[in-house]
Parts: sequence; C-alpha cells; structure tokens
Amino acid sequence: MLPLNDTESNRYSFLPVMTVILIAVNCIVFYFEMFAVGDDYWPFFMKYATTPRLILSAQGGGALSNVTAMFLHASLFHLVGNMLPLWVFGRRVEDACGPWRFLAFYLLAGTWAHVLFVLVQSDSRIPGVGASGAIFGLMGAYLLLYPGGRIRTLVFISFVPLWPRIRAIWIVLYFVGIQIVPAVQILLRKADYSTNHWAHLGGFFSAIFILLFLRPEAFARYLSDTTV
Amino acid sequence: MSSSVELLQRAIQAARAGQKVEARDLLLELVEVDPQNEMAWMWLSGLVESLEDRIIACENVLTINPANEKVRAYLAELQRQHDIFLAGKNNDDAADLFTQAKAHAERNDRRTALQLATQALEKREDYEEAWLLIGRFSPDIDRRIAALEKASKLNPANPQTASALERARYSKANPLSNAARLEQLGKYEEALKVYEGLAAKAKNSQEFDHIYKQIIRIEGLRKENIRHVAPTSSIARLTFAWPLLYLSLALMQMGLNPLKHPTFYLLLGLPLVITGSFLLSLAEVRSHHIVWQKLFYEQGDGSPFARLVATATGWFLVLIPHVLLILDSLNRLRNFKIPPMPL
Repeated sequence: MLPLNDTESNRYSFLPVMTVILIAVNCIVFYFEMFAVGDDYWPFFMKYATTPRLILSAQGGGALSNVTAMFLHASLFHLVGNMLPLWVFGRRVEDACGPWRFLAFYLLAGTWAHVLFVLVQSDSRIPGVGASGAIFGLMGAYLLLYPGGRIRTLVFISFVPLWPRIRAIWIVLYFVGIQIVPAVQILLRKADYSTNHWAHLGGFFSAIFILLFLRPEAFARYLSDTTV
Repeated sequence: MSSSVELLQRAIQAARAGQKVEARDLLLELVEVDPQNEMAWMWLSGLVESLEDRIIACENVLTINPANEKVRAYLAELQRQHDIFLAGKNNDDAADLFTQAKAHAERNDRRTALQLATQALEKREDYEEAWLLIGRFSPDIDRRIAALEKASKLNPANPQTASALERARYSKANPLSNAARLEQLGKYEEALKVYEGLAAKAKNSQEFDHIYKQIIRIEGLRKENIRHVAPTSSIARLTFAWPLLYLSLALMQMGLNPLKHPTFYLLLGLPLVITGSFLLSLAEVRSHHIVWQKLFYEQGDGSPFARLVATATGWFLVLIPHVLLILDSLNRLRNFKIPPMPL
C-alpha cells in the first residue's frame, strides 16, 4: 500500500511551499550523504542522528542532532518511502497551518517521535534517522483535520496494480496498526528492529498539538465541524 | 354675598379648630360659588393636600390679586419643592429604564436596550451611563460619537469614555478597519452592512472589487455557519506553538532531564520565545489590541508599519533562543568524542 496523492484541493493557499522545501532539503541531504559521506558514515551518524544513549547522557549534538536526524535517510527506498507521504499528507496540513507554523509542527512531531524513541530504547547505541516520525505526526494531524479525506493509493492485489481513492482513516490506521506489534515486542522483549517503531508512534501521538498551529480561520472551521 | 362671608368664617373657624377636612370642603363650596374670593383661595392653599393643588390655589390668589407678595413668595417656594419632587421622580424613572436597558443589552437585545436608554435620557438628560450605553451599542457611528461626546462632557475624567470616543472616531475615519473589527467580534451582519455601505461609495472598480470580495467571504462564513472564535483566544492559542517546539528542543538538549543536565540559560530563552510568539500571533490575527495602543499609540488593528515591527521583533525573539540552542549543540559537537561502532 503506497499513498500517492490527496485528491482534495487546497483552501487557503495555492502552493505548499514548506512541504516542497522540506522534500527538496531531504533530497539534497540524501545526495550529500551518498556522495560526500560515503562509507565513513558512522562518525557522521553519531554526530547528526539521534542516538538514545548520547541524548540521555547529554553528549553529542543533542537538539541539533534531533533536528538533523529528521533529514537523514538510510537508503533511497527509505527516502522515497518518506517523501511520498510527506507530499500526500503534508500538503493540506500545511494549507491549514501556513508554511512557518507547519515547519514548527513538523519539527515538533519529529522531536516528540525521538523523545519516545529515546525513552523506550534508552540503552540503544544505534542511531535513529529518517523523517518518518514527523511524517507520522502529519498523518495524525491529517486524520484530525480531514477525517473524511480520500487518498489515491497504489495497492497490489495478486500482483495487479490498482490505485483506488481510499479513506485516509484506513491508510493511517494501517500504517499505525503495523507499528503496534513490533513496538510491544521492543518494549517487552527488547526485540531488535531496523525500523524505529516507537518513533513512529511518538510522532503520531504528537499530532494532538496540531490544534495549536492552525490558522485562525482553519481552527474556527475545525470547531464548527466543517472541512478545515 | 352674606352667605359667602358666612361660609368663609365657618371654614376659618373649622380650620383653626383643627378640622381641616371640613374647612377644606367649606372652602371648596365657597370658591365654586365665588371663584374670585381671594381669602378663600388663600386658606385653601394651606388646606389642600397635594403640592399641585396648593400651587393652583396660590396661582388663583395671584390672578385675583397680583400684588399679594406673600403668596407670590409662598408660590415660589412651592414650585421649588415641586421641581425637586419632579426631578427625583424623573431620576427614579430614568434609573428604572436604564436598569431595563442594561438587562436587554446583556441579553444582546440591542434595539430594545437603545430604545430604553433613549427614554431614560428623556427623563434625565445628564445620565452618563445611558449615553455610554448608546455610545457602545448604537449601530449608527455618528450617533455613537455624539453619545460618547455627551458622556465625555458629563464626566471628562472617565478614561474609558475617552478611549471609546477615540475608537469610535477612528472607526468613522477608517470604515474598512471598523468592518474588520466587527467581523472579528463575530458581528457578521453589522460588518456586512458596513461593507455594503462602503461598496456603494467605492471610488473605483479596484476598491469595489476588494470590498465585494470581503462581502462574498463573510457571506460564505455565514452560509457555512462557521463558529466565531474571539481574536484574543486565537492569539493565546497561537502563542503556545513556538514555545512548545523550543521547550521540546531544549529538553532534548538537556538529555530529557533538566535536573541532571541543567542548562539554565536555555530555559531562560523560553520567556523570549513566548514574547516573540505572542508578537507574531498578534501581527497575524488582525484585532484591536491594547498593544497597538500602548506601544505604537495607534487605534485599530495595527498599521502596516506596526505589524511589520511586531513581526520582525517577534521573529527576532523567537529565533535568538533557537540560535543559542544550536550554538550550544555545535559547541558540544566540537568536544564530542565519537564512540566506537558496536560490533
């Protein structure tokens, strides 16, 4: 299941400037990672990714590493897998917030994703990278703001590609649902996963803060139970 | 005639004996027969009960004998008492009417409130609070200004009246700003009326288009039945956004444990971020705010210059603590010894 596009149009602004900038920055940083960092990635990740042990012992980049980690990706698949939902869910969330507050919310969701990751996997020395925590925050925010939204999604049924418009709630529930079992295993059995499931959940639950970031008109619409 | 004299003597005797009712009845009988009897009217003026009747009796004496100075002086005193009584009665009536007006205003029934306040002013013209009520609730800006001017004349020391008058004059001079203010207060109907009035007076098509867009927008809000959110609550809500991010980042910087890894100057940045975030919110949410008055000496929702200054100061205050945070991180990175890769 791969979300491709939100089929509804924007209400307040024409272009989601900050979403486009974030995608561009992520791509540029990935290019830098691939070609400038090369094989010597360990020191680079230690400095610029979120490592629970380093964060808790107040070593390394701290807040800066937390922010830079949101722009680092481990592979091209990781990057594309994050940038596509960033476009799909970010566009209308940015429309409801305005570019600067959208950026603040994006960073806040990413930070809270890392907070949960650090607290749950406090012994881990493995650095966490990726925009996925912040993107889960955007998914949660999208669900709060546009519960009736529909997303054009690529699905394969018996290897046959289909792209129906699916209600956002099913897509978000699917992506959040697949985090729960591994997250519980990490918590109870200290299981080792390459995916940062707790960060995803942390980001998702930080979506509640989106109400502080909405434009006044969008907030009034939210309170009036009409489409934000 | 002899019976008139007799009647008068009987009445006087009765009055002297303390039989006032009997004396009064005899005198009334007498003046009916002989209305030009000065003595009878004089005695009556002292025997009738109501102030109005006493005045009438005295007036009749003076009609018969305009040279009666004693009665003239007595009439003047009676009239003074009558005026005081009337003023007191009017004051009570006005106070009653104003209380009702206030109650209607509280129930948002402005039309009745204004009518009652006007009636209160008919009873008592120097009723400051009634003028203030009209100055506050009248939909007609000229009437509002006139009422506030009257209230200001009655009590020049009232600062609220002075600022309300200034605001009303500003609204008259800046009708677009006034319409925006009405919209912010959720008074869509009144805002539409102002915009429609402005559209009728538009000087060119560009101005008309701008006003027409506002009308379409407000009608859209009414059609969608959008709930009104007070500008102050929007400002308060938006003020929390940036401080929340800063606090989260500062906590990360302090290893999620400010007691174990305290970096107090990072926490000191929080009030700066809150102030900056407040200024940014204020500049965005167009509202009549005391900050514009106190800092920029401006009425209304802030001039473009004031908003620009508020925005620039807001960004400065928000960014400075974030920059300090980054500098602190960079400083830590400079001294950071990279741990070996786990096997």
